[in-house]
Amino acid sequence: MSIVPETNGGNGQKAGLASFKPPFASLGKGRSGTVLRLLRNHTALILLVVLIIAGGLLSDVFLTSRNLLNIMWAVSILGIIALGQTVLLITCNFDMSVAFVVGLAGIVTVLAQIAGFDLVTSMALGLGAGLAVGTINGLLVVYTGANPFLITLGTALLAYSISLMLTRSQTLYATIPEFNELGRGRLFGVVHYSVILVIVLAIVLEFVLRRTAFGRSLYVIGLNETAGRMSGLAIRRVKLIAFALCGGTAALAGLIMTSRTGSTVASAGAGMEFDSIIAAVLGGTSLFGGHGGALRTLVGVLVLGVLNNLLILLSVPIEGQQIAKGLVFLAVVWADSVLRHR
Amino acid sequence: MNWNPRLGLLGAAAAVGMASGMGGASAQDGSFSICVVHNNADHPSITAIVNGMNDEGKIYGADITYFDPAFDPQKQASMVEDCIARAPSVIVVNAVDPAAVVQVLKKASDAGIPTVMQNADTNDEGHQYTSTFVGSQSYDQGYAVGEMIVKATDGKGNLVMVTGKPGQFDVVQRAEGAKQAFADAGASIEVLAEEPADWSKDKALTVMQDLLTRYPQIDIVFGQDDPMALGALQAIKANGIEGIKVFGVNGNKDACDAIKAGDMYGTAMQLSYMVGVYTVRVAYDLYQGRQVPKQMLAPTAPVTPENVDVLYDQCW
Amino acid sequence: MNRTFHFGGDQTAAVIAVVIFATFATTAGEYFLTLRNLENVARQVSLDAPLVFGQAIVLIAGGIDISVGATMAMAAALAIGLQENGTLTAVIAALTFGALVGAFNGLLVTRGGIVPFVATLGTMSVVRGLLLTYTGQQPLSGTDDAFVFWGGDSIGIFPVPLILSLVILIGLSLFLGRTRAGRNIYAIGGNREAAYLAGIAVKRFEMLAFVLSGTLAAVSGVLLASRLNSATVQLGNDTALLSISAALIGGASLLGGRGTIVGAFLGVLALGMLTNGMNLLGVHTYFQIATKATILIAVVAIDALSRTMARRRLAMAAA
Repeated sequence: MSIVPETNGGNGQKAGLASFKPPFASLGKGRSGTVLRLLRNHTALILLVVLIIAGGLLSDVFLTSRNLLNIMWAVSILGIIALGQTVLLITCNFDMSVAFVVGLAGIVTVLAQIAGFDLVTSMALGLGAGLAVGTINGLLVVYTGANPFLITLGTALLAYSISLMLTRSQTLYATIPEFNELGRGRLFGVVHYSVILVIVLAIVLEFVLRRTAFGRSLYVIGLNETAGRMSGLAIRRVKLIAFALCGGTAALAGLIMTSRTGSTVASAGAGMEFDSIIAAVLGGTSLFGGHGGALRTLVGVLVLGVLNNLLILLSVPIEGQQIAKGLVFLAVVWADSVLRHR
Repeated sequence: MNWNPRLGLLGAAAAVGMASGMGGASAQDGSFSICVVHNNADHPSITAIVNGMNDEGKIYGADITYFDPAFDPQKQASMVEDCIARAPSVIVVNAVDPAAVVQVLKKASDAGIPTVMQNADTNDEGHQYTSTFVGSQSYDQGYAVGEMIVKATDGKGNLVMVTGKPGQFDVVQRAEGAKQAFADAGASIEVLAEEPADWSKDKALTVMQDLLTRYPQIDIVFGQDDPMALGALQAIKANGIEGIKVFGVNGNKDACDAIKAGDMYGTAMQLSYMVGVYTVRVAYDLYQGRQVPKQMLAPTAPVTPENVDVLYDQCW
Repeated sequence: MNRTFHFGGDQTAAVIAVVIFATFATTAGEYFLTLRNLENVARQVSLDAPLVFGQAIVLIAGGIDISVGATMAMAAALAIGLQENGTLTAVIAALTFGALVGAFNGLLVTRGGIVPFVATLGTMSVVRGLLLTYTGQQPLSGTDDAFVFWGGDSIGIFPVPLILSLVILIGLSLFLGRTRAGRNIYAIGGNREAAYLAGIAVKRFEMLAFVLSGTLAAVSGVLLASRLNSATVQLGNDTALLSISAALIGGASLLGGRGTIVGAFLGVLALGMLTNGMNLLGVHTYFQIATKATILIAVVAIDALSRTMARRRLAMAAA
């Protein structure tokens, strides 16, 4: 038993059993190795391609530009949340409060508008609410060493109760018409702003993750926090930023959702905490930290979007939809795990 | 004029009732208490009921407590038990599931506390333990929408339904009510699909988009509540499609606005505020030991482009 | 073994339970301390208790099971829906289903190498889908009134599910505390690699933990079906979170290797009394949510802090 507190070993077990594998030599040699590596690194992308091809064959309306653009618009909100969640997952933490931050941010923004603030200020306040929740999450996790799953579940409920108290369960409507452009407007009348936003955000985050010191430090913390500390990383600060970022992206998604539907709902983002983690995991992000990327998460989000779309286009009965989503998810994760361990 | 005569009667009765209520209000002894267990508090229609109850409750000096099980029958059963433990004058229950509350209704009855079912009734077995039902049945709401649809489309067209959370009682009932209305009118309306949007406006938007892609021939959309109907409307507009008639349930202000603007073609207005008012009234009667009718059905007022100007003030 | 007191464990759970009890006994005593109310709380808590025990076992083994709520709901549906074939058959089918779900989770984790959080998340979705299919989206009503006895009735002043839960509690506690299998479960949770190297069949016990969790969730489902005499799709949506919170209050840790069944029972009792007490006081739903959230955060944060301090003390002592 080591004397130094086992931080990463502990963190690594947080979500469950450590990925203990017997010492197989990797099959990385030769052509079969290359194929396997390709499969392993891009499981979600391959699945996406397969789904798209299947969709094109099974439904004659799937491959239309209108349908594909619709899919992207539909998942743009989840995409933004999943991107923030990915950044956090890389550090081996997660945020279950995103679902209710979505609602809270929208409510704060609309309340600000009703109170007479202008568009930019109201949106800033909404984003601020998300950043605040994220920061609280970060402070609690970083300074107590508590488990992020439970802490963020707690802040999720807290955010929800605040949302309910602020609105008293009434529906609130935005008072500034320009606000609706955010969620509903299109660039050149073709591509929705929210789609462009999520793509730009993904590219920016990918750059940050791969090319900046901050990004690299995220991976180091996720892979081996002790080593990171010994090499002088400001671990606490980096984690705090990651948590705040996750809250901020959830708030942004909340603003977009409120703008596109035109009204607030406290539980607007319900389910998105799991969906964002599912999307990230599908895209190859590991719950143990140290792996993952923004673009990969987008692929995962698209897989979910295409799946939802196909289930309706192919008139799959409701019961089947639920089962199908669960099985697809498990199949991808299983395949990923099997390929990773070879 | 498309006045629903029952609505007129109810309105008149309400006016008389309010007047008399306000007159003889004062002498209430403070022990008139009501314990209310919703099915789900986070919905505008329930807020309207609560407003009705609170406003009327002031007149009677009622002390009202509200519990919210968020659609969980297990939690609702526990909350009814906790209500019983508080020994109120009357318990009001908005059943998440008609069968799941029967056991605790029996307990209330054994404890000598009268129960009023509100908005969602219990089943026949449970009726032996309850005093009355106040509200409109979701089946009737669905039926009212069905009738509206038949009238507005001459009984012809392709319809898709955007439904609430799968498995919920309201979802099934509203769908069946509408379909029965089609059958009774001998209409040839084809139901192409029923897709769930979990009562969420945004989900209705994305689901409707996909439905539009799948079925270019849609003429009619029935959203099982107004938020979902409006979400579906958004999708229709965003895809630049014209000529689809959208119907909802609730009677929200923005649905009525949409009807005025010609975007929506109807909503079945739930007189939720009045349901709240009447619940308190009948609870007071029970508290005073008076006989009450077995049912107090609130009519569902169909709001259409023809009568929306008249009914607009009642939209909530 | 270090016997330093730290936050977390049976002691903490007992303290929390007592504090909550005392709080409501004084503030809402006239309602809270009635026999009827205490009986109600005991019943409400003991319906969920078996499921919570199962979650505790999985947590001890180093895993987590998010599918328990879905399994419970499906078991309830089976227990009601199959009654025409005989109530006993229905109950056995429900329990078997629970065991099968547990085995499925176990397979995903042991053979698929999938992390329990992710594996049980997927299973939850599949089971919910099966539930929708089986119920045809309609609520199911029971036809056997005698069945209500198990969840809904009492023997004397003791609710039947309470008696059943206590029996299960004793059985599981003995299993975990006195058998080698039980000790192995603690071992694999505490340090999986070390357990493997010590020759423990890690995968077998992981599988066992999940099967137990699934079966116990089904037991809760059967009791719930009995008490409500019906089953719907909406059951069990918050139950996973409740069970994790209760087990954690009772001393289990998300890192595994710790916790007891008694602690988990005290945890679910504490949470049940909290809800009941707040309902009796007429606390508005919004504030109830906020209160539970704050308590959850406080418990988790303090537990983590105390463990960090204990580790630092250990490190300094060894230095």
